[in-house]
Amino acid sequence: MEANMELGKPLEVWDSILKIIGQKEAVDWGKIVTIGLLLAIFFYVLFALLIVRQVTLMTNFLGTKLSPYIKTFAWIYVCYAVLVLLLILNVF
Amino acid sequence: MSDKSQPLKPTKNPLSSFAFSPIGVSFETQDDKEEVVLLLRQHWITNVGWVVAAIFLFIFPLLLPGLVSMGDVDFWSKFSLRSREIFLAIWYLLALGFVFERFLGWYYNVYIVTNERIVDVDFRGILYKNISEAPLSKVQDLTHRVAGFLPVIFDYGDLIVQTAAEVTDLEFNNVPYPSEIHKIIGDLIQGENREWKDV
Repeated sequence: MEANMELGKPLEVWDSILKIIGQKEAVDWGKIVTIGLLLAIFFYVLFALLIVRQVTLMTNFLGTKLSPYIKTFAWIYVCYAVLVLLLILNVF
Repeated sequence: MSDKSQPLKPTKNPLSSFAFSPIGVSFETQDDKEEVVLLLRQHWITNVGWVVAAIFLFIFPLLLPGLVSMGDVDFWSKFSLRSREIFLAIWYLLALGFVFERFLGWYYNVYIVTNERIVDVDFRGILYKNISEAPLSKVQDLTHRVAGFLPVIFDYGDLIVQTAAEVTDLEFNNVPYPSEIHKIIGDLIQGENREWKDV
């Protein structure tokens, strides 16, 4: 009996795997892709904020006539990244 | 810089890669009496590669249907309007990021020559900042080289500033008019040495 029980465990696991594979048509791939995109764009928004930080460092070191425009563009870029995030979140 | 016999005039253009006595330019560690004589960036021709890539990135979504469907089938009709919007939004976000990062890399990697020192500002990517400087009094030797097809045609090249042992050597890469820069820095060093002798 004990031997059967021990053999039974891996079989149960295999059954579970088969169940999952059997349900693969029911998996919502659209949702998985959306979640992946959301995560990627979320990190991209952080990256855009990092660009703002770097632009601030750059413009603090070297001041030119273009500095305010470059800073503004960096913030516009962050806003655009947030808008893309909201677009994927289906806010609009 | 079209006529080298003419005396140089202060540069107003903020996008210039060779700015003599640039107007409206200052830097963080600049002293009160220090004047920026030259502000140098890499020659504009060095940007052609990424500019062409950027143009391609911006027009690629317009070319994509033609490339994939080869005529009869409308490529975009296979996707919902929402998917198309998201694809285009992400595509242009990345394309814009690429252009912005490249532009910043070119615009803020500068070589500053003042009446007191030479400063090499190096921002690589968005996570690296290195600033090296050498006082004019420590400069021992200047060498410039123009080598290659494009550098000869567009008159740009490298300038190596060798300094006293305790100060790092500086290398100006792909700067426009290296011989002119060589001459200007040489004159500044002579002026600096004269000042020291007078003192």
